[in-house]
Amino acid sequence: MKQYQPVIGLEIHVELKTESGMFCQCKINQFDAEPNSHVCPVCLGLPGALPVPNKKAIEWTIKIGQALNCTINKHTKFDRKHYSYPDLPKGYQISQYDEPIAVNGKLQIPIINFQSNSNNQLPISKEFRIHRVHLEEDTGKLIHKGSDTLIDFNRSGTPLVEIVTEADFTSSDDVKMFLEELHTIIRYLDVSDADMEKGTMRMEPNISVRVISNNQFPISNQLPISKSQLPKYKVEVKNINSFNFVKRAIDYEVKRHIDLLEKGQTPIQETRGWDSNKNKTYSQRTKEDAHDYRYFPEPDIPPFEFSDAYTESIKKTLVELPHQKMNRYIEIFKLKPMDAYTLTRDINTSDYFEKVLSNQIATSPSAPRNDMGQAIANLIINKKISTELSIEEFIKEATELLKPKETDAKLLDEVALKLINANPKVVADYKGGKQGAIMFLVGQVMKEMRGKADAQTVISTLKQVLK
Amino acid sequence: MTKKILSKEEILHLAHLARLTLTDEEILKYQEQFGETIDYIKNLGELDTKNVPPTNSVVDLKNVTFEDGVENLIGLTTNEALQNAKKIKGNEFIVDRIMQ
Amino acid sequence: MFPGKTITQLKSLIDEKKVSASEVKEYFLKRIKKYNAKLNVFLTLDEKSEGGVPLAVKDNFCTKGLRTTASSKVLDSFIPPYESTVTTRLKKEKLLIIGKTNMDAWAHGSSTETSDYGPTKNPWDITRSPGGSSGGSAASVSAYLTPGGIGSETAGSIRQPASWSGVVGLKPTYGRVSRFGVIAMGSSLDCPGPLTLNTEDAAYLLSIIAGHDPLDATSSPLPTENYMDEMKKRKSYTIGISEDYFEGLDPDVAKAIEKSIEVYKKIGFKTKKVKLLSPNYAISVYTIIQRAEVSSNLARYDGIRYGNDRTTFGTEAKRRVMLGTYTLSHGYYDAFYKKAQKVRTLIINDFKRVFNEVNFVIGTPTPITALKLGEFAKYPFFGELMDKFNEPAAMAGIPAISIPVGLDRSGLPIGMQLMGNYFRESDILNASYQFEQETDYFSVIKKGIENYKD
Repeated sequence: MKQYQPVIGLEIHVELKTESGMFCQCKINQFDAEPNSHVCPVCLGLPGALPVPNKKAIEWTIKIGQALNCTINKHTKFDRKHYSYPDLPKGYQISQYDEPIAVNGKLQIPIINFQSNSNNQLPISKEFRIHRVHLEEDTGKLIHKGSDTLIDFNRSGTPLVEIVTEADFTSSDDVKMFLEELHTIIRYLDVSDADMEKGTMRMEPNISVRVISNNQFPISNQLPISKSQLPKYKVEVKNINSFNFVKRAIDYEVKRHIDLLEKGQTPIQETRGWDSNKNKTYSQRTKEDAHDYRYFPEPDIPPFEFSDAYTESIKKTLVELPHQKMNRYIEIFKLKPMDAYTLTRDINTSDYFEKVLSNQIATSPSAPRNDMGQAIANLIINKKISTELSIEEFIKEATELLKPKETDAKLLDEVALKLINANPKVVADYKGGKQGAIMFLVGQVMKEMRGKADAQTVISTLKQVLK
Repeated sequence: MTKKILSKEEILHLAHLARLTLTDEEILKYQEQFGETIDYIKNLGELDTKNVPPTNSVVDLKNVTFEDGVENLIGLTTNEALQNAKKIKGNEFIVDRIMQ
Repeated sequence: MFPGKTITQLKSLIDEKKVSASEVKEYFLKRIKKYNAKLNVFLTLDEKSEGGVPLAVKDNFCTKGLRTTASSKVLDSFIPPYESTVTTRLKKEKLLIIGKTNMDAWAHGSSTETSDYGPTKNPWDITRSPGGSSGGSAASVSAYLTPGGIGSETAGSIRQPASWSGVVGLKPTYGRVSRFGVIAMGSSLDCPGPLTLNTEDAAYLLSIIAGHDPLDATSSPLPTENYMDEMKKRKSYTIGISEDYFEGLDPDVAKAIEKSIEVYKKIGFKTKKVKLLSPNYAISVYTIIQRAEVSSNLARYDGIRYGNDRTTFGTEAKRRVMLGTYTLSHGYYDAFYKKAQKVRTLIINDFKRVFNEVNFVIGTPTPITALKLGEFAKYPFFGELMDKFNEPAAMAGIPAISIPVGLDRSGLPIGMQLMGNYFRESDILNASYQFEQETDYFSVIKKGIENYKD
């Protein structure tokens, strides 16, 4: 029997949230504006109009490249990419061809075991290579209505960063985790809203399946897969606007390809769309009208040369990225990896968390607890206290909630004794050296006390009695 | 007569890329003229350009940009944007529906 | 009333209130109305606007509210909603854009015959072409329908019609004058420039239109000079003579250039033999680069946002788009476009080397005088061969001027060309001015105007 392995690469487009356009001074990201109300000769592609690049868009692309551990090319330029579509006003898109801003990066994705609750060791991670990061301009927007297609050019000329990975993915789960991590990073960098509903982050997986026969042993899972081992086709799926849909589209495609391969057929190279209602992909166009983009260097824009000092100055503005921050939370605040992961998904949440923590430690009247980080994390993650509150208000409520419980000492003594007598085996285990056995008794006591006891006090009382 | 270096199919493919419709007469004419032109420009082969960098732009400029958020001096009103269009609907340009 | 008065002279008359701007405007409007039907110079007139001295502007400069066609039916009814930097600057100096002039459609050609609105006639002989692509603006100045005009070059489109129509035409350094709002032909080559009755007007117009424009990333931030003042300083220069630039000249043209060199020697200029790359390479480089850029620049004309659809393109535009598409298409880029860009580097280095030794390279923009209308169409590649002396300066992006230096046996004007180093427009204007002082261009310009009585 044959074995199959998916080979998946990704193209991700992110619209930057600069104020002005990529090559003109029009206000961009005007989602609620009237159609064609934020346009100029440049983004409408009028005769004689000329593009001038937006400095911030270039800096932000460098920043994204740096966050993805890329090499920033010292020399870069824009090129014209020719194709024809009504939303492309010039008949070419100003993009980058052979000298993209950033190349050869990698992104490490933490692999979180959501079942595991116990340790606070750093989670393992997987690494995926970034092929390139380049800058281009977005197109206008088409709306299909009745027998017409309407065109709004407000979006035309929005800075658009394209991130291309190597075909390093073999599972849709990895793809989903990668995309989530990338999304988080883009949001951390504060260069894009990366809002999939609004289309400011768009994802296109390209998928193929390679056959690994049984006698070809050992199966090579080593990455990178060499070019010769790659399938001779790939299918690109466009217009997917959620991570779950990406995963589903990949799963659908992989199954479709395997079914075809089983029948001895090779899937055709094509572009497909994702129908989220029917939960399946559909054919859009085949390789037959594959584009010949006729790239050549954009003569309207002089090239770029980046000094080391310049790229370093941008690197200095990089914030701590989510993965690093998560590791710090695990190591310094002793958080459970899952909680550290959850807290660092959103930079506002993690900022809030750290502010509370620094204040709490500073202002708490009682001595700092070594599990304070985890305690605060629990309050935030379980939404015990709203992070909408001011830091002061949050701390006030937290102090109340975390205050040691008033314990009915007399009752506790009675209950502890009762349960010790009722569980001789557990007691024997504990005395025999199984420290963990005491936790069973703690649980039982807490249950009997119906919350009228502080866990720490229960433990110390039990230990006292068992001495 | 100069030789035809491109077949009719190749000419049609180029016309497709360039979104031009050609008459049979034009196709024939271009086949001949391309031959003539391409024959001429072969003289560049006489020059050794092995270690010569290409010139994309004769102006000795680099890193030309504008500052994000500067005033837009050439913005158009919606009316100005639409005034030259043959077909509009409301504030939008229209074309015959493109099949998805 | 003002026969033969230059822009600067008319401007003084208006400034000194000896005449009113509207009198000047009416005078030229009357002349335009008298002769336009015969010469086919203007495609669109602006009779309403007021201003100072009227100018003819080539129809590839976007003028807000005033039809701009680039002489193509594709833009037959295009009314630009914005203004080119060049015309903005002219208007700011109170110059009046009185109308838009005929040209080769999209500037593709050297005769105005590819215009979808019929050819412009050469004022010296209406059976002949005024040259092109800025033929309308050149003819307007030549017949004194306006005292000056604005044209644009990709490779010769100012100098060649200036030469054939017997006026002064200056092609500035690439990047010296903003291209913003100029309908693009070859983006890495296009240069707007003046067509005038004398050097002073060329210097005057250049001083208005030259200078950095933040809307054109390829426009140079180098400061401009006071071209009018620099022009009048008596300077001595060395003129380079390269044999390749004298090959295949009509004997009358050759004689006129030799005579011009004698004029320069007489006023103390030195001459020096130099060796430049054959202009034949520039033809090939130009053909490849220009066609490629044309195919790209014309891609926007889809008839959706403005203009008519792509079926409206004329044969010449289609031919260029097709060849450009071919040279850029998959598998051919390196052999054609990239090779051309490399040879372009050689041409640039070649000029830089020579300009270490001399101030100018002398020659003619065109080996022959004005051709009969209809001649160009016989030879599709003929235009490029005719433009071979214009193409090297265009490829290198250096400035050059064409000035009238006599008439041939048929009484047609002959042009002389001076090519100068990057951003040395003031030197070119200075040498041209000295020639004018010495010869009055052998009265060529005056004779031209005399044929067109008020």
